[in-house]
Amino acid sequence: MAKKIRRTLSKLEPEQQELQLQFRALRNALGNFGGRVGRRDVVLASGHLDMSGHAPELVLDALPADARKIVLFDAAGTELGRAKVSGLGTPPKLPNAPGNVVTVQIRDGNRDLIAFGLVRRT
Amino acid sequence: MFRTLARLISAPGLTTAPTPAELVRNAGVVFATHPIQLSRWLDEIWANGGIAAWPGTPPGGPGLALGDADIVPRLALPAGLRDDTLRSGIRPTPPFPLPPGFAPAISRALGVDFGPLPWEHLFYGFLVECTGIVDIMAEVVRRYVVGETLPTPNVDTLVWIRNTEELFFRDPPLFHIGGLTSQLRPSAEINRRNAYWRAFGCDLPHPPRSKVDGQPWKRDTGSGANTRFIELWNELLRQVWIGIENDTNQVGANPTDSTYVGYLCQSIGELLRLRRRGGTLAREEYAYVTMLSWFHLTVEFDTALVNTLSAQATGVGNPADRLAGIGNHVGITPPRHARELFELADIVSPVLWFIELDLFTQAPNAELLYRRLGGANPAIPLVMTRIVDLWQSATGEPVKDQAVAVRLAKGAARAAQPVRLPTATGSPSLPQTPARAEPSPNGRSAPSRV
Repeated sequence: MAKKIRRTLSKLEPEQQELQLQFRALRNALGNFGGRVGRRDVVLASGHLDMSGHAPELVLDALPADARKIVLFDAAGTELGRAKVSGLGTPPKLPNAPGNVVTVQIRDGNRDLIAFGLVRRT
Repeated sequence: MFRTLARLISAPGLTTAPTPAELVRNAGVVFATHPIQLSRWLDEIWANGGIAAWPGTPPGGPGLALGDADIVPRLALPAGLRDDTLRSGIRPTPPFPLPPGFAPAISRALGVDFGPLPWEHLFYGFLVECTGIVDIMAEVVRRYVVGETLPTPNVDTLVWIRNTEELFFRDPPLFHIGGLTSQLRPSAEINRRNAYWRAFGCDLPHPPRSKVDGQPWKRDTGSGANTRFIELWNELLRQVWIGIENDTNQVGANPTDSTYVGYLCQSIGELLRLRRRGGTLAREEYAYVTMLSWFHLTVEFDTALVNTLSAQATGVGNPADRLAGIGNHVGITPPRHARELFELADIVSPVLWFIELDLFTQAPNAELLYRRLGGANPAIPLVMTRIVDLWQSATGEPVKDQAVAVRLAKGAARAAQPVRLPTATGSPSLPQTPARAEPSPNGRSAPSRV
């Protein structure tokens, strides 16, 4: 019984949190931002990889106010690196970004996932 | 897709939610766009891969979306044509003049630079078509193009009529991704019913508009129809509701079984993937959900047609009210549960995509369907609660009744999980196999049509 109570009050496991974020991102990409069901929910972030210079630069168009960390992933979902939001400047730019970055996840101060971004190439 | 296009006009990265006023304006922009641009835009979006290329989907394995990811590039227009002479040029910019025109060569079309923009699941198309919207809109377009029995249209309405007829009621341009009628399958409405029957083992609740002999959409499908889909879906919703009800239990028994919920997701996913082997039905799904999204967008807001036919429902109304107002003009009454069907259609796609991608099969992941788990925004259980409410209201299926005895007593519905192993064939203790329900295997009666 004690175990049951602990589980009921527990928070999401990291894998569950990631799956929930993916669900919310897919819902946004289908043009649905909640509202009717629960709170208005926008988790998609936008970024582009500027390949025009001698090294790729990741430029994030907008970040949530509580964003603290950015995690970069390639197409296979392998983590490529992390960056603190405070070091990115305004607008947030990440120089020398990996050229194969495809998606980014954004975490808040509690390490909760709060946004998901697809990276375009320019 | 066209509903997504209306949202992309305000937010090309879908990073903000447009206001209702923006969406009304954007819907007008979509309907004012030349049909050849819209047709080409569909080819551009298809070529980006949709859910098959969406990041986060499992690479390969049993959960591969669309049956085979290669189906998209193999059926897409070659990039040299798509990006050059067959570009859509859709990129309207403020102040959004009508028609929106053709964007210069360098810029890419809305949604194309987004990445792999996913489209709705085929179940979305089925649910929206259950409202009778295609028949109503077809009759509206027909009446406008052959006579003057409907209220006088303005230019915006006439453009909508032209675009609707060009895009959905005539043969599409040759070699277009939406070109699904041919000498071999000439009827678009029969083709759609065929796809719904194969994927979900369901018929639309109303008869076809054209006179047909029997149910031709079921001919030659062989055993390739998912007749267990609705049974499994009902059971999944029932089990999810048990989980939602007992989520905050801290004492006493908790009948929730995450393993069984995961098993049901696995079973539904396997059924759906079975129909997609090799990429089967991918093109049909894309064409049908894009068509239904056009009509859904038409009644989602007080658009030009809605205003012309005085079928407004204002900001607090819903698509079903507008559809009923339009249907009044042509003597077709939508089913009384059209409101639920529209809202269900709006929220069901991500759930079914995740099920098909095998993402809810593991018990900890299946828990996400009903447990809030202290998350800041428990999107999935909120969506599932709404789906349960709407499904029960729309179909009359008592998914919130967890009493097994009640369900068995009705005789028709059987739990997906058998309560006992079957004994010898013909045993008097076994229920007799019901006769094949011919016209409406989904159990819904046809709506009245005048």
